[in-house]
Amino acid sequence: MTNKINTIIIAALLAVNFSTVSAQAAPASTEVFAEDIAEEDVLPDIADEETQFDSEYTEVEVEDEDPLPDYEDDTMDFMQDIAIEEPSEDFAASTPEEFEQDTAPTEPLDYPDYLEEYGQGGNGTEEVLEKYYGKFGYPEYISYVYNIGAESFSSESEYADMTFWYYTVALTENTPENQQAVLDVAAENCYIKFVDAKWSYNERKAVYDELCAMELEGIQIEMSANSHHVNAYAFEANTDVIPEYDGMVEIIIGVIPNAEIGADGAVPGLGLDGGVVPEADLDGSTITTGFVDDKKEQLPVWAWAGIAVIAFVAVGGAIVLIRKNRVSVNSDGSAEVAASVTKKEVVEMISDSTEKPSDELKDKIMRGL
Amino acid sequence: MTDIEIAERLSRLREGDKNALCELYDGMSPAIYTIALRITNDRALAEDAVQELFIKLMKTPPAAELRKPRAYIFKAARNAALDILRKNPSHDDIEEHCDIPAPQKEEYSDVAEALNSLPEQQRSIVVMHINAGLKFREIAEITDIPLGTVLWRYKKAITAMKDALNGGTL
Repeated sequence: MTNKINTIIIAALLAVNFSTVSAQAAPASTEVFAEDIAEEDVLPDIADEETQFDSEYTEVEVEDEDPLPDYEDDTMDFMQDIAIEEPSEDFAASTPEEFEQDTAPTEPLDYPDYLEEYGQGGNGTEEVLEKYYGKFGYPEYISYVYNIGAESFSSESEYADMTFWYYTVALTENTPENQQAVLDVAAENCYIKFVDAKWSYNERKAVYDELCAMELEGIQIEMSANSHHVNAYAFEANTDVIPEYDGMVEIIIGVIPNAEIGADGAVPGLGLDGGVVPEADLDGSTITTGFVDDKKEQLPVWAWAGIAVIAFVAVGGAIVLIRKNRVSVNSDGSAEVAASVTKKEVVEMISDSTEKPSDELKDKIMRGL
Repeated sequence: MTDIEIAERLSRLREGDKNALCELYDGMSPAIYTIALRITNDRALAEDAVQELFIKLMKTPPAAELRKPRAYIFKAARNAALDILRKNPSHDDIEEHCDIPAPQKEEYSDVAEALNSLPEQQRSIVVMHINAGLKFREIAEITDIPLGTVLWRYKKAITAMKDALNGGTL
């Protein structure tokens, strides 16, 4: 039940974000969109997808034990294995006040919200993946790279100078090797969710070029930014001239990207170059009423306000319901309701679980010197 | 202890001042021991790791000034614990022949049990950040893992522990 409520909330929140972003034909801009969200109401189910890392430690399934590192040096000379730290650009100059501040652990609420859903960061240096692949070419296993936005933090945060970029990358061959190849390109602050796709970017581009070359009247062709399709914007009357290409071409009826609607709701038609044709120039044969009808069928403002209020109340109520209450019965029959543990409390409990060695250890060490 | 305080003690260690080692031990042993304990899941092995670390610090202190001495010491502590664990993969056989107490799991709190159930990578990151107070970037340098991966594993670990402590399973 709780998972369903979580899913509904997440879907609602993401739907708001994605409806805003997907309305644009081009990939989303870099505007910050994430707000502080209470930890209880955005908890997507953790996708149990472990990927192989080319690092010292091999990541395995959660159920299995992590293999221990394979130290080649069989001696206890672990001190020599540690490289002397070199000054790093990331570390500021040392001051007593800074160090006092540095030792305080970060509260879990001050945290990138979308990390769980968008997986881990990359190993490379590229922040704008679509620009990189646009310049160097898309590998055959990539269908699209979609930047859904970015997230930055206040100056008081540990991540004050970082921007987290979130990508959905669709792969025609969604294998750990191909995922790793993408992660090796992406910068460490790029968090990527991998999804499956049917057609590669290069296949779609070839179809896109063919359709553009046909110069289909009244039809605008675009490479979809966030799906493995080629989009064809058309009106009901002329969709039969569009080849389907085995489902790759997605026909979108009655929508004019980036068009300006007239004051009276009149909808200009599409020009061959994809631009907006002024109403005065139209001969009346290609006007669509779909968009206008859609406009007429739109809900009034008060209805949208009512829906927003209902959604707000529903989310608020769901937050209350999500908090699990545990009830324990004492020996005298009285019941106690225990509040569920929050992430903040988990951190506090871990901090309080610091243990001390035995009193004899110090003497043992000093005797051994 | 702050980086400056640790650096001062290490500098005195290079001059052979044993009091500096005592001061380091008093200030850092709980965090170091906790890291070693969470890795080895055995008090005796954790103490062995702590002992070896401090003896090594005294005998071969770092030769030059360190930019991040705290991170250096915790990295050494983690390596020591992993080394000890590698050399003692299973002490169940030893318990049959020696009077060595079994890991005192019955004394562990729910938090400790939940921590022990995490994969070692996640457990190390959580302990280094919360008990040792290391920043994520420092942990990324210590473990040689990308920062994003450190953050991802940390959040995954905290969420898993929250679910476990709320009655779920890891």
